[in-house]
Amino acid sequence: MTNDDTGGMGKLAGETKDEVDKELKDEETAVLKDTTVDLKSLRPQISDPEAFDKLIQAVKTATQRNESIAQLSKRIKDLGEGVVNVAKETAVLISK
Amino acid sequence: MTVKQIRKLLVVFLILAGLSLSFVSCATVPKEVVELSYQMGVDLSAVHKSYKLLIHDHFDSLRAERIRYLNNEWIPKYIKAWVVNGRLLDVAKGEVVWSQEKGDFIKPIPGKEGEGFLTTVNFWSVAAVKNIEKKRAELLDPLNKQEEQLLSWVDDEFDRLYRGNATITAHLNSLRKVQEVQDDALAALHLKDLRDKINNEILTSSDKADKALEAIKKADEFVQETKEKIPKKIEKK
Repeated sequence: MTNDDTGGMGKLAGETKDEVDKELKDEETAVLKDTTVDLKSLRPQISDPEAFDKLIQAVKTATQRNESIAQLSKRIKDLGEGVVNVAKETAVLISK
Repeated sequence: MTVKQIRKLLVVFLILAGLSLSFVSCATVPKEVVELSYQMGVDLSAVHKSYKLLIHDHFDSLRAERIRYLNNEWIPKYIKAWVVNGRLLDVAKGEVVWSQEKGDFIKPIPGKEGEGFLTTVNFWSVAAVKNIEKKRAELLDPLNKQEEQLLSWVDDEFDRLYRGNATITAHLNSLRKVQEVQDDALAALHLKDLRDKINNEILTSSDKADKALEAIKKADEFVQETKEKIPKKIEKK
């Protein structure tokens, strides 16, 4: 006694499937051939990932350098303001 | 520190400030370059979406062809064979029923013909559907997996392009930032010729500028103190 939901008819139905597969082998082979995908040819061929990552890192380093320069510019601006203040004070001193 | 020393210090600081303010790279970075790079990132996303749709459409057409074969050729043939092997006509005539216990067709039990018929037809149809679905999976699963794999590759490669584009945009933006900060000073000082030379030295100048700021603060304090002391000394005299 079988407990599956085909009541044991599954085996017979499976054998029938194999029989039909065999009968339609040529037709099926033709359909599969027409609908086969060559994944390799469709895969995007982009540059070497390792080299790409290195380039990204190099540009990021250069970006950080520029950020440092921008920060330095601000410092220099502050420095310039400081110099002007000292110059003003000194001018007062010298004139006395 | 004497007034003379203060003067000297001021001159040094003024030169340092003037030179430092003049650094920027020779090439200019118009804001449109940053915008263009950003726009390319946005457009890249649109191309990515389109690319994925094309892949999906392509696989849909392949699936449709296999489904056509399944529906028009395989299923009719299978049903025909299963009607014979599954003795559906004999069942319909009431000649046999399927026996779960024996795993074979038997003559209907008297008085239970109707029940035997319904049970047999139910088993028959479930077995048919199961095998049809099995065949459908055999035909379509490989395509579905290939589509999934290809989409995954495309996503990976586009992600790399996004990353590259974002990195370039950020870099261009940093150039732009540096340029904007320094444009005014550069125009005022007319020191464009010195920019390249100073660029090479500029990174090492950062720490010097910090130290110089400290020195300025100290000098400022000294001036303040001296300013306070001088009137007192004059008064004493």
